[in-house]
Amino acid sequence: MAAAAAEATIDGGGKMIILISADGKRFEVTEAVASQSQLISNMIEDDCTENGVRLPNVDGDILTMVVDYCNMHAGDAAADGDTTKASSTEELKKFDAELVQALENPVLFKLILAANFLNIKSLLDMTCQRVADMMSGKTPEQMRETFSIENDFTPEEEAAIRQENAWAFDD
Amino acid sequence: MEEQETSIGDLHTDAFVEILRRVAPSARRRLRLVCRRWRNVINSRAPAWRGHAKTLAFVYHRPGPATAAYAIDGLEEDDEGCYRKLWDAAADPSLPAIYSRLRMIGSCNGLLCLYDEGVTGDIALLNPVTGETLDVAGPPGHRLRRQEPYGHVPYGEAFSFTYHEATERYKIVHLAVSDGRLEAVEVLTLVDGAPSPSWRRVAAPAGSSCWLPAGVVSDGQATYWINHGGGDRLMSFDLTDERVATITSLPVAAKNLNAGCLRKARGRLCVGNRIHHDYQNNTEIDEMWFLERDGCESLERWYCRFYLTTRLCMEVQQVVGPHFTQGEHILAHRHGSLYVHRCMSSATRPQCSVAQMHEHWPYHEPMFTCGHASNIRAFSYIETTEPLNVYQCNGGSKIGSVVNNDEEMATGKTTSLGQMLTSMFNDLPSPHPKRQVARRRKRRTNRFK
Repeated sequence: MAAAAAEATIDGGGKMIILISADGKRFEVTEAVASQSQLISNMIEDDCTENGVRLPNVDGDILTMVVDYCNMHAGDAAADGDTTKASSTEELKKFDAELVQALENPVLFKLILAANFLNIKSLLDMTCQRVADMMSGKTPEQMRETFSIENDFTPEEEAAIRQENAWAFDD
Repeated sequence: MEEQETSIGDLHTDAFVEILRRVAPSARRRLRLVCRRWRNVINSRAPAWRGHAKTLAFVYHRPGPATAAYAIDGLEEDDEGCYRKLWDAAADPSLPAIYSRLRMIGSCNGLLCLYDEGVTGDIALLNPVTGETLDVAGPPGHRLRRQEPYGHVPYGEAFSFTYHEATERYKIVHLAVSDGRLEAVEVLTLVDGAPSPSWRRVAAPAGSSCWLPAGVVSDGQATYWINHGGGDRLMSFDLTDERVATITSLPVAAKNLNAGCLRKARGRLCVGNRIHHDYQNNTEIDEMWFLERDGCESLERWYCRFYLTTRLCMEVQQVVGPHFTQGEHILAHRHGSLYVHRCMSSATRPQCSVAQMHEHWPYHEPMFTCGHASNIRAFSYIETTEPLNVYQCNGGSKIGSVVNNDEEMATGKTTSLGQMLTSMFNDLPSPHPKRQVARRRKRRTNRFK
């Protein structure tokens, strides 16, 4: 590991950090990449990343996506003033859009959980926005279908909510 | 590894709230209907609205163009309710001229749509909670069409502001009426993130007409008006296929339309039907018929929901418009005074709320009085954080404008209507905890002694 870390320092990426997923997969990333997670950034500050960071809530396949995402976005802060910035921002946007569009529901929710746990604001923003978009323009029944939710209301409860909605939004 | 599919139910409440915060309040209220958890989380962590619905009463003083505005609140706590004066341009002549020119087009999901009756004919949307505003140019050429046969209908009343349920978009609708003839319906749709929208003009079929004093009202599916020149046909402009059509389903029993008959309550179109059948008791009755529509199958069902009685020996009050309900109360006006009546359930009319407008006969104290000849209009208002900045086009200039008004904006000579509105309505979202507001004196029922 020491060799790898030394190499990375030459790269200008700083120290390397090992992330360990719930199923024991190991990911080696630069400090700059890992710091996009507020959680890990705090751990780096507290100097407790020596033996790798165990992430018991995050599966290997989800962590792969998170690391990919962070690798793509690590340039964000570093590439300031770069002439290629405009095009790379465009590219990044396209990458984000494609990533989030292609996700199946279960993966999307796992990604939200991971982004929430790791506290990666931009990833949380993007994934939550995707779910919010999925909620728009749907009837409650369609929403239950989309998100596989069972209607646990009694007809009386449902009527009460409808009435509340109609009264509050008396418009 | 065992593969239990992760679903939205596995998200912690915090993460779920992150999602809900990204859904506009107008859509969030519907999410409450999905399941108990969603309802509970929305109620406790991301409420679609705050507090109870209020009523905004707009008073147009006559003679003279001055206006006054009141917020009515607290009727769900006791029958007295309370009100707060926002301004009264007649009592305070030092107020800027805009206070006299301002007309309310409508309210929707906590957004107010207002119209400047002055030279510009500008429109602006305002959310009094967030202070966000959006300036909208009126439809092109609409100021040239001023030869109305009924000069007493403020120009802004040919407009309607609504939230189209099917597309979840706000629409401002304008009926281009000239001498009672409906020339066209003009619509502006707000689309978030899209380039500046423009007014879409839909020519009305030949022979179309509109009786503006009856009112122009929209529900989530269409805009409605009454035709001009007999027949009292209820007309509609469908907001989905943007077409003018006659509503033929109005029951015969509901065709004694009273003056200014189109109203709105509980999100539905409501038609006021005046009947004088109880001669024995000398009673006049207003029935309020609601239209329930199922957009997809064009199912239309009418039902009478309010039954309001008045003795003819007293001065007959008229329910205010376009909104006339607040919770279990109805609001009525007479000679510039606003009255509040509580509705009761009735054994003889189980489907109706019944209110006796002569309940306190011969003397009923009004909530407030603003001069004999004043006209009162009422609008429902709810505190939400419904966003407006998503519709802002680049540079923050007016949307819906055909002429490039960048120069006008650049010179900075004009203050936009939106800029003026924030200060006018900053009193509207009452600070919490509730502050002291004018409490109505205990309602007296002075019998003749």
